[in-house]
Amino acid sequence: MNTINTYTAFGLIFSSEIEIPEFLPAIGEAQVSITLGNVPANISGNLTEGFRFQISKNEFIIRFKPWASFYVCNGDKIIIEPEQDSDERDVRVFLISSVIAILLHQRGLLPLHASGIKVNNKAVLFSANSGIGKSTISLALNRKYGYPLIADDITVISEKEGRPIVHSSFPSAKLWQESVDLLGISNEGLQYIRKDVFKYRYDNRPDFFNGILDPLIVFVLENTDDEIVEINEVKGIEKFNVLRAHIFRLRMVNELYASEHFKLISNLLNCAKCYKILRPKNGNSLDELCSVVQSAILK
Amino acid sequence: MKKNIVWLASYPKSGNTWCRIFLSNYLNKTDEPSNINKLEIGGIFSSRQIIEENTAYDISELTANECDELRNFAFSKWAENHEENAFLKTHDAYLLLPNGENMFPIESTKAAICFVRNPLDVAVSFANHMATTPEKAAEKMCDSEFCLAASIKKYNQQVRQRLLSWSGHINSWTIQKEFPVLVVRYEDMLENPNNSFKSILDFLNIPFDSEKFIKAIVNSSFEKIKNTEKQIGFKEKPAKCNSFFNVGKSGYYKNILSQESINKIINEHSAVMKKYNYLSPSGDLMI
Repeated sequence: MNTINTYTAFGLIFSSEIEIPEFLPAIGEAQVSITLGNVPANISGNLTEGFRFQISKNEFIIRFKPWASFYVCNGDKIIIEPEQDSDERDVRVFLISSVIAILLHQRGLLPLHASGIKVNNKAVLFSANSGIGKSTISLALNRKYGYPLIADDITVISEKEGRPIVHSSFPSAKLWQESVDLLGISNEGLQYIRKDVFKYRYDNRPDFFNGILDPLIVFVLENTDDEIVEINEVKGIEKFNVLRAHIFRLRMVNELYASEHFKLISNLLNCAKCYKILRPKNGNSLDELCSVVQSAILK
Repeated sequence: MKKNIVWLASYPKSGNTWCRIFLSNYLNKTDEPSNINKLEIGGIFSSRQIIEENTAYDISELTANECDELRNFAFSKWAENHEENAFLKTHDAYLLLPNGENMFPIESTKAAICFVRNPLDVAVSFANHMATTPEKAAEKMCDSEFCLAASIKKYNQQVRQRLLSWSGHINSWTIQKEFPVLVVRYEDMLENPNNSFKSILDFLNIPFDSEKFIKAIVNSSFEKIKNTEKQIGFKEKPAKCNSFFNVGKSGYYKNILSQESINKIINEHSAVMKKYNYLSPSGDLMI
C-alpha cells in the first residue's frame, strides 16, 4: 500500500501516491487522485492523436518515453505508469505541467500560460510563450516591491457567480541559469527540474500567496528586435485573441474546450486590463521592464 | 503524405542564407525585393517555434536528444501545410537518432541542396559569426562533437544542432542514399551566380522565368544584402556578431588564418577538400 500525500495547487486538493514537494501540503477531501498503475493502451471514442499522445474531451494519454506514461480522465483522476529506473524528477516535471494542465482543461477551467503576483489583494499576470521571461519578471517584482508570487508558468482562471477568479498554483518557479544570475539568486542547493535538463527549480516560499484573487491586469510579454521596452494597452477583439493564444497546451486540446475557454476569457477580460509589452530580446532590460510594469500597476 | 521538403543543408557560412535570399526573391509573388528579415522561404529545421507548434510540447522541459525525437514528426506535419518545395535550412549533419530511427523526415523529403565552401574561408567567416578567433573556429571545424545552440544556461530559440566536423558534415549529406542531393560550391556561386542558381532551379524542376531570375540575382547580390543588413539589421545574426554578411570573398583566409590552422584544416579534411577541388590531387591548395 503506497503512502497517500495530500496537496493543494490550482485551487484543488490532490491525493497523490507520489510525493510532489513543489505543491503545498493540505488537509481535506481530495478532488483529484494521482495514483500509480497501468495506463490503458488507447482511449476510446472520438479521439485526436498527436506525437505520443491521444486526447478526447474526457480522456488523455501521453507517453514520455522512456520515463513514464500518464492517463488523465474526467478531471479527477491521473494514473502514472513510470518506466523502470525512471527518475522521480523526470516524472514529476511532466505531471505538474502538461498532465495537470489537461486535467484542468477537463474540469472546464482556464489554465493560462502565465506567471503571477499579488498586488493589493488582486492578481497581476504575465502571460507569454516559453523563454520570454514570465518567471523572471514575477520574481524580480517580488524582490523589488514585495509582491508575493501566486503562480509560475500555469495560472488557473475559473468563475464564480459570473465573475472571474484567479487561483494560485504552487510556490516554485523554473529558472535558467541566466535568470538566476539576473535575479541575484545563489544557485547553491538548487535542483535541476530534471536529471538532464539544466533549468533550476526555485522555491519562493514563504513569499507565496495561496488562495483566490480578483484579476487586475494581464501583461502579455513578447520579444522585439528593438532596444527599448514598449507597452500598449490591448483592447477589443485583439484582447480576446491575444489571451486565447496563451492558453496552456492549447495545441494539445485545440477546440475541445472552446466554449468553456470563450466564456472564461470573456469574463476575465471584462474585469481585467490587458497590456502588451515588447521587450528587447537581447541585453538585460529587466530593470526597465520592472519600472514599466510598476507604472502600469499604479496607473 | 506530401514529398515536398527540400533541405538547404550546409556547414555554417557556406552560402545557405544567400541562396535562401535568392529563392525568396525568385519565388515571391511581387516585384519588390524580399525583406531579409521576412524571407518567404520555408523554415529552419532547428526552429523551436515550428517544433512546439507542430507537436504541442514545451521543449524547455526536454533534453536535447528528446527534442531531436520530436523533429521528424514536427517537420512532417509542418510540410503538410506547405506546397511544392517546402524549403528547410539546416546546419545539422544528416544523422539518425541514437535509437536508429530517422531524425529527418525522409518520407516527406523531395531533395537536398548541399552548399560547400573552402573550409579555410569558412574558418574565417565562422570566427566572425561566433565572435571568436579563426584558430578557435578552425578547431571547432575539426571537432566531430561540435554542436550549435548547445548552451545549457539559457533559453534558446533554436534546438541543439549536431554538425560533426566540416568534412563529416558534408559526407553525411552527400553519401546518404535516401533522396537526391545537389552539391553547390560557394565559389561557383560567387564566380557565376547565374549558373549556380539556374542549376538549383533545374534540379528542383522549378520553371525558369528570365525576368524574375535577373531581378532575383540582383536583389540577392552580396553587396546589396550587406547594405540592407547595415540599414535594417538581420534577425538571424547572432547577438555577439557584428555583421552576418561579412566579406563573402573567396581566398580571404590568406590574410587572416594562421599557417598552423591552415595545416590543421588541411590535415583533417584533405579527402573532402580534394573531392571539391580545394586541394589538388597532390595536395596543393587550389584557392
